[in-house]
Amino acid sequence: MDELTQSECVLLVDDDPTARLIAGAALESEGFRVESCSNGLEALTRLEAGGIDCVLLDVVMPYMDGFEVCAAIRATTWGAFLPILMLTSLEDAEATARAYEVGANDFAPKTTNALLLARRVQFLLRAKSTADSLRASERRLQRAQQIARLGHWEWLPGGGRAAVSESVGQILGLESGANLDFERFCSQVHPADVEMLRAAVEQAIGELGRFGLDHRIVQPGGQVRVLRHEGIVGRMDASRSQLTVLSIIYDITERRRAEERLEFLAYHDEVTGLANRVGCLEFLAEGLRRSGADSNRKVAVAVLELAGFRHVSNTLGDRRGIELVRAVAARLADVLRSPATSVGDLRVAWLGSERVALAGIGLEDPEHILPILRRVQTALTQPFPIAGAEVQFGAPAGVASAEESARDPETLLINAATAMLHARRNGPLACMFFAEPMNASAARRLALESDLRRGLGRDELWVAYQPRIELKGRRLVGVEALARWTHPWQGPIRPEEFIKIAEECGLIHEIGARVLRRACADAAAWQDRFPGVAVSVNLSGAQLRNIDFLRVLDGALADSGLDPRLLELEITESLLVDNSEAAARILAEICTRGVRVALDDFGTGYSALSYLRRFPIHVVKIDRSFVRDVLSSPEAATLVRAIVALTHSIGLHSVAEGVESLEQSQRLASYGCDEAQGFYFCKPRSVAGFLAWAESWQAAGDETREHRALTLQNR
Amino acid sequence: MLKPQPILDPAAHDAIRAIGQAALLSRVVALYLGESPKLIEALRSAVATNDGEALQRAAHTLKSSSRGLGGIRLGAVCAECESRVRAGRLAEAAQLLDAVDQEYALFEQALAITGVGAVA
Repeated sequence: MDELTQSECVLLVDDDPTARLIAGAALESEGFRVESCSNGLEALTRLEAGGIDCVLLDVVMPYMDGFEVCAAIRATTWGAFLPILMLTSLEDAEATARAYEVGANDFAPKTTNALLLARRVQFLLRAKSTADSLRASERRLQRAQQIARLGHWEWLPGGGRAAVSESVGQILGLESGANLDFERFCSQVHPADVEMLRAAVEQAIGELGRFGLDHRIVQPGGQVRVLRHEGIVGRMDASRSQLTVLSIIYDITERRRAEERLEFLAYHDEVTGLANRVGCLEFLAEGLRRSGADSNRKVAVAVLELAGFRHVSNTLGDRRGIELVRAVAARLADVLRSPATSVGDLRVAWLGSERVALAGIGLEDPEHILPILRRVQTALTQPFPIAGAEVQFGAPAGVASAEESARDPETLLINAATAMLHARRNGPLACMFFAEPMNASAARRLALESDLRRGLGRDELWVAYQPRIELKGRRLVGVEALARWTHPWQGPIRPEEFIKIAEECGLIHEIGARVLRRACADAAAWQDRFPGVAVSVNLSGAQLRNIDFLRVLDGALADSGLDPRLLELEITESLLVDNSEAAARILAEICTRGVRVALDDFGTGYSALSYLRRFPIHVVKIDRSFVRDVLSSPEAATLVRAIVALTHSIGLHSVAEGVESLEQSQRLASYGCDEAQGFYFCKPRSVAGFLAWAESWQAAGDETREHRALTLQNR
Repeated sequence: MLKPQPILDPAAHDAIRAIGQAALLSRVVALYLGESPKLIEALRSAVATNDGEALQRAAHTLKSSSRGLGGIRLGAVCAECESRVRAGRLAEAAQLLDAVDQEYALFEQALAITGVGAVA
């Protein structure tokens, strides 16, 4: 006997004192502590107080028989697992059956040798201790399963007995998972997932294999949870005869939510909640996969540019910028929600860089995307109220369909963007379908556009200066500032090309502002050495339309300290034609600051004389084409003379551009033209080059200037 | 009706001695001799009041305790009595009271002869 069993206490319940005496002596001799009661009521009271490890229970007793006592013990919280041995009579065959029914652990005939009875108690107590540790281990397992939201469930494919861990019930939202058979389980599986589960289970049963899938369940309260369900089929009972399925289920709802959020972020723009570029490509890829099987499921995508958006958004600052982006996204969502857009499957995506995509899949005809695109364009070009004002954007669009261009999503999107680049020349609501020849020129434009953005950050843009000479006195009176871009490996890019790109993609605002600030700063700096030498800066149409320009202008003047009268802004006639009202207002504002305005390329366009009266213009620049022909063509000569005479008659100044020879300059002087600029005097130079040229020009006498002009030009 | 059986089976006494507790057998016999007349008295009053349940219980207890001390024949008479009551044959059970008296007297003497009990 070891120490543990010695301290175990047995309660003898028998109304026969001789029986108690004999059994008690036997048990004590085996090392048990013994207590005894002569009836059931006494026994129950004693047991409730605790400390009893085993009960020997006689059947026939006054007040309550042994069966009643046994059942009463089992019904208590403390007595469910208490070992009970019932002492039955030899004559009473029924007694053993009843002892089993009421939950006794064992029985023994009353005549059993007392020492054997004591041994029997030892066996009972050992079985109890094994069962106790098993139960403890089960409780630990259950607790662990609850924490992990994991449950195991053993069931028979044909129905019938099932073993279920407590947490299964909790996962399913049931009070208890007891007797959970497969059909009952399936009744809680989400209707859309039931067939998938049945098929997986059936296959595993057929192969005596495994299954594993994620499926949803609907809890009795209606809450939907996502489960991972893994199972293994086999003959797992001791006799290996019964086909059993062991299922492990765990609740992965939270994990799934986190995954979905991550996936959402991968495919969506965080600020707008719209699909992002990747999401758009994924959607198109899905459409292309489906269209492979069905020729009536076509794919088309439009790319729109919110012209001016980035500039406005940068000006507004982060918070308002985000507000604006969301307002744009809300309009897009509104369009897609409207019933008129029930064509195929549509999605809008925020591509970034002020670009939006409208993708359509499962379309009967790619052109069915056009009416929706039109609605999107209309919605996006309506004014957006922001910060107490209104802003408005253009929304030119390009469309590509999988019919006419490549069948991969990436190329589709690029082609649509290419078509958009062509379309945007035709105005804020223009739209163009992609055609193959667009590619070569569009590719270069696209490359230059992104290079230009990068180049701005790297100071690849700089300002060149070309002097303007007074024809009468050969004095240096002014300088034209010209934007230059030296591409890191393509070298200088023609200004006409990159300025056009900058105008189309909106970078013109930033480039224009930089040139203006640089020119003002340089001109202010050279006033010490060349007092009164003015600078003129070209102004693009986009800049003139932007109310923000006046702020840029004031900033440039204030920062440099340049006398506004030494600044001249050059505009072209077309600006006045396109936007005469707004232009007139801004020109008037410019004039009130003392800044002069020059009309560039005069004679090439409408050359409507009325402009010279209606707008505050101070200088007319005669286009280089007339100057080039002034010696050879009588018509050109007549025109130049007329323009000079006209400008003088209304008090304006005339400047000839593109002067390349002494003869040309003499002829222009003879017509009374005030100033001239051109290679004959000096080609555009860096600020240092220009200053060096100016020094020698000033230093030379009138006679030698002609000569110097020639030699410097050829350096 | 009754098969020839020993009045006292000595094996029962050996089993009690085997427990190894000094004087246990004499204590048990003394206790038995004190309790049994009360049980026989209970049998009589149960018959007098026609109380089947009390009759059955008393017969059962006397049966068990007698058998525990090797009282085979007395146990058998008690068992027969008990089973008649259970079968609802109360009057027939009552006819066994004299047999119980008789067998008890014999068993008491047997216990005295083996030297563990005193004759009243």
